[in-house]
Amino acid sequence: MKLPLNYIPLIFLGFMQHLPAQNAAYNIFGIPDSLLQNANEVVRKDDQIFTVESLRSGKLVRQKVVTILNSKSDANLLLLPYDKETKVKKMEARLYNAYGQLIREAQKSEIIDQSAINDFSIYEDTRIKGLEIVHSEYPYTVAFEYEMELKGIQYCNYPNWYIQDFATSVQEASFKVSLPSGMHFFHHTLNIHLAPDIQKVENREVFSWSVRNLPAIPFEPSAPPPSALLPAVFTAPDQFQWNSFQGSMASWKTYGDFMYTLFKGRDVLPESVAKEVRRIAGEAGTGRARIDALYHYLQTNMRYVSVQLGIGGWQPFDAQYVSEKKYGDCKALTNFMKALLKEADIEAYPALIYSGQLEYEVQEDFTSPAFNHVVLYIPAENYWLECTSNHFPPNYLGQSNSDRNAMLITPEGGKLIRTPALSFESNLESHKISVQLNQDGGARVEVRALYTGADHEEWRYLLHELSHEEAAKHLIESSSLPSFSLEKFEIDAPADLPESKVFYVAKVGRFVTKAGKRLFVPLNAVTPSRGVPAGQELRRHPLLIRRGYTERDEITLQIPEGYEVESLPDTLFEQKTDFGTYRFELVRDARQSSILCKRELIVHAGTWPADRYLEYRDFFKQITKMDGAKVILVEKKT
Amino acid sequence: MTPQNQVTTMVAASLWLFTIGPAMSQQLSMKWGDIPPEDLAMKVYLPDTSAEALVLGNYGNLEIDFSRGDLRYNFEQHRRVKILKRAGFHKGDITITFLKKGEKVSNLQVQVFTPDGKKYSLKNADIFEEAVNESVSRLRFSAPNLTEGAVMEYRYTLDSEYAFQLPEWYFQEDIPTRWSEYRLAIPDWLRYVILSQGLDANTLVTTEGRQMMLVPGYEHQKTGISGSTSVEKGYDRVEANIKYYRYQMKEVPALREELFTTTMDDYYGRVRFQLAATAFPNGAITPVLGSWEKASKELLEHERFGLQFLKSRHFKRANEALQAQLAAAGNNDEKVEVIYHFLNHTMQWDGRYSFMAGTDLEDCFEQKKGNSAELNLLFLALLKANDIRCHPLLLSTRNHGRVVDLYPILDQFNHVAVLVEHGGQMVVADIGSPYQTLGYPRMESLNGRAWLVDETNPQWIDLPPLSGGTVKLATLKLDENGQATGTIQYKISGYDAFSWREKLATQKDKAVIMKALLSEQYPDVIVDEVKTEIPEDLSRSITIAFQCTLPEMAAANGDLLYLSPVLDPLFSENPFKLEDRKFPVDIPYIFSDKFVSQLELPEGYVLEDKPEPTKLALPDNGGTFHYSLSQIGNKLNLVTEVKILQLRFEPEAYGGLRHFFNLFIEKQESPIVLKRKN
Repeated sequence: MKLPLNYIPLIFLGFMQHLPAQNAAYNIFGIPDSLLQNANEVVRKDDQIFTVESLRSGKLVRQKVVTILNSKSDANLLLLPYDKETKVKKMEARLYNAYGQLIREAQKSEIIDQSAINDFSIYEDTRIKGLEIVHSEYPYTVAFEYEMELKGIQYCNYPNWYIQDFATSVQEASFKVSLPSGMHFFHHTLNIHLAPDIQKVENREVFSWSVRNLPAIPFEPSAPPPSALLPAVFTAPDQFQWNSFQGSMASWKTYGDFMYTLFKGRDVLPESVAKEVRRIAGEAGTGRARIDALYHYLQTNMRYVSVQLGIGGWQPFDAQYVSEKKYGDCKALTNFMKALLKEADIEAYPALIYSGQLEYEVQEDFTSPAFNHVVLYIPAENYWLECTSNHFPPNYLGQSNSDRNAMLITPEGGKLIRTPALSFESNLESHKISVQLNQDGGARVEVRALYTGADHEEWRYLLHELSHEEAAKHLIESSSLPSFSLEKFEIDAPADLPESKVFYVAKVGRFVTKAGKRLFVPLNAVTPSRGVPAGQELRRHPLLIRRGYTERDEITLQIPEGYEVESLPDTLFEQKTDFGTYRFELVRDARQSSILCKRELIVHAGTWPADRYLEYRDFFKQITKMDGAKVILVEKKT
Repeated sequence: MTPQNQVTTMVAASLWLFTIGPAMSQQLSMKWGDIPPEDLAMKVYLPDTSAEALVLGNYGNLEIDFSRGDLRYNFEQHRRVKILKRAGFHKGDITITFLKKGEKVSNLQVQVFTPDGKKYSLKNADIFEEAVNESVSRLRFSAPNLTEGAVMEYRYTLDSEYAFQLPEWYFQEDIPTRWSEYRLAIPDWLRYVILSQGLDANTLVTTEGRQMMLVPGYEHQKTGISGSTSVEKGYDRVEANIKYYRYQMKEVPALREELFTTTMDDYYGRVRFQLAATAFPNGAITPVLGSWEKASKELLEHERFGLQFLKSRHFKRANEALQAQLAAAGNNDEKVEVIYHFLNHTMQWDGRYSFMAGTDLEDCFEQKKGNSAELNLLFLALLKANDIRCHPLLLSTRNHGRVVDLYPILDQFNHVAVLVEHGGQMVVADIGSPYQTLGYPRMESLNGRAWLVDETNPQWIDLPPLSGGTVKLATLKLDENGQATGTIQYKISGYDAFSWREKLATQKDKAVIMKALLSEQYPDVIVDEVKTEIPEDLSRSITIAFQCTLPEMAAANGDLLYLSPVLDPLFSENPFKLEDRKFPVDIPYIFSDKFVSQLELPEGYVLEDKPEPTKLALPDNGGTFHYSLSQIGNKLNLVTEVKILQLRFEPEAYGGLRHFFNLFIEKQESPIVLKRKN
């Protein structure tokens, strides 16, 4: 439904008061040259004070002055998430020009207030306040001030001090945590040597950290996550309370104890479901077969819908709720699966995890609830279940959950555990391709592919979440073959294994390029190289390859009647490096009617020092060159 | 037309009207909770076997409602969806959007029937209301207990005071619809303009009936049996003609999005209603929608449109700030340029489109940012304040869909640009980027036509077709190892130049940018001595020249050298991959890409094999391509150019367009073969 015109929000702004202020500290001439290198913004002054008021609430006050050097910076935008419990009490901004003269103060009406619901979420409490200050002449300086009353989930997390972001230098910044005497908290420093200064003031203890003149750290691709590169101070409460729940972040054990109380008693199944579970369990036998059968029951009956309200951000809807609605979020579905297994006498623990691209590696020696997802672990079988997927095979967590620390919620409290990694052997893309050229430069290309591990997920998704027609459209649009029509197309993804098999026949109108009596035939048209990593002469950060994989292809090229080979790439090319190996081999049959190309690329996961980056890039340059190789055919002389 | 005035007028005119009762009510023909067994048992929808879900029925019923003393409408919707496959489960996630003020959604009910005969209802606690922003709210829910084969239905009533625009009805979605029906009962006191697209001729059936309405304010002398008289103040019965509209469409196929379309809203079958006039009994006809002239007049008098650029209180400070720069300008043309650049360099676009100012222009200027209307209205304000001839141009951007030109329906617009006199003619200007020249609106604005707001002579104008293009000149010398060295020059104009200007301004290392153009073809390319010529005059093309070494431009094989002579072709693969297409291809501006090279052959080599010269043309001069290669002495001269000259290709022309792309891409990829003389 479209909005009628009179609903464009009408904003009245008072005339700004002109203040004769000029703050010398804000002019750009006070920035040392060393802080301008690699920087998009310079934090001039950033003072953050977190005052713990009780076991339930705290106050966060921050004053941040930042000079924006160019349009790549987004430090001119302040976003404050809040919810029913946490409130934004003050949010102000002032704009100064390069000379430190006050240009204007932001009006209240400029603050944008909107719901912050994820696309995949049907409902969440989270809202967001935003304030953006724009100026046309760089550099300029923005001074932000805000105050927040932290309660609920935001309090239990305690604020962390992210001292600098990539491409940000810091002139002066400080962080203080003030607690009533007798209360404790935990802190942990990342990528910087800093010790707090501790002072007793009346009935409070104040911990302060401060930094000066930190040069900017550039962002680089294929580097370790920010938590391994950027300086930060993390904090966590010793004791906290939320509704009637009391908890502590003293250790993974105590945090797990708290989570256990949130999950406790929520796994009671309605009798009708319990009966069904006993029937399925009885028929399935024991051990893994029993788990698989119940996982199948979950996957065919329930679906993922996210509803997150208040403490529901951490506490699951109970098993009854999922039974009734046949949907739930990750906590509710995991808790429900745990209930199913419990009914079948199998013990399982929910495992909190950070799903997706890791920004922060969960540390063993510092307890912090840096999680956004939950999966299920069955200790007796050392078995994992991703309960929000309707089509993953059992004991497959997917690429976004693999190889990272997770916290098990057990009756004995929390325990850290590492999820299985997907190795280069398990992430396979393998193609058997047969190319039949025709006289006019087109080809019939038959592809039989096997994908396993991370690489299989896309195809499984296509099979289950899209119609066949849409999946075919996706294949055509994402393929690296020139435009073609599909003659056949099949996907198969077995229910119990992380693999997808794909078979298709493509009729390509223009497969070769022609020059007079010659045909230039690409050998590797279906799986071209993944490209050369960006050139970086001065690499600073270590090189991180997060995921290993294997590509193994066999391409058979039928030479059309009347043509013979004029030129071939090297018949054997091998590269062995620490990053991986590459092998490219050509075999010609005795009758000279076809060429077989065998290609294998193995890439290893790992971390290497920055000075190896160019070598890594060279490896991929070689591969790209070989993968682009063409066979040149010429009309036979008659 | 100011919508606010419009509502006020209507409410005033209709205050004395009351209906007698709910006699207009019509029953919806799909009965709540009554699911035919065959629908529940359905496994596959035969007209579209690939469908993951299907709208079994979608019924809307709308009644005009005077019962509360003002003009409102009541809208009921009852929609039933069959889930055929797991992939269709997300069709159970529903959002109903409404306005916080003046609209209310009530009686929302949701139920799900599973093939095993069970029925589940959604509890109110599982329906969430989300305040999206100050004015808009939405109800969201997920249908419970979905299984493959389940049938989900929901219904609700929307009560709204915005009767000048009735709820739009979509007959078509991205899943098939078996039956879609929209009924409206509208007294002939209200005259609506109906805009429909994609409907069959026999979709609409109208019937007429009569119905009593109460008219307040009349006094009746009543004589009782006793002979006493009393005065009864109350309502009179007035008989109204009611027009009943009934739109029906059956077996409407799914319509799924494809690349290179403006917006799917241009193609879905749908119908819209806009109040054009009221004609109450004992009153004259009061035009609401009025004429384009009236709409113009009202817009120009509107607080958030015309007054913003006509009354100096809204732009006084901006104009003051401008004067220092303006002092140097001699004639009007220079003034226009100064103002245009002043705004483009001072103000930042916030990324939003609107044709009304949401914030006062004075405040926008202070905050140095604004939506598309605020920026362009400020431009108008400063132009007018400095005696330049100019007009607002209302536009619907490419994403917002095409406009209908018959009726002054303003909500089809979402953007306003400026028509300004410059260089002896009227040109289109659009504030929002410091790199775009006068006369070239933002690419999103390139949607065919615009409406010029003028009190005496409002009119549709066709936006002139605009262009962009690149000419690449290469002078290279090849050695017998296959390495080429030489210079390459890019000359870039029109829209392409604007994006290049931006790229060059934000990226310091120009060699990196130029290297990126060639490194896909030649990963080892070396680029240095990049020289740019970027005239301040944004209308002029820019030039980038550099030294270049391509260590492996040619592959050597014995006496032979193979190479692809066309560097950095515009397309390395055909963007039109699918075989056929349901919607037109819409191209924002005409473009050309030309490559001219002179390649000096290594000593002792001759041309052994080369692509044939080619000329291609699309029908009706929609595009051209040519390729020619000649040899003079030891130099190879190659010229190739592709031009797309037509902005819209209908689905019937798609095959030809796709083939044209295939042919020219193949030609530009074609290698040549050199051979060493014995």
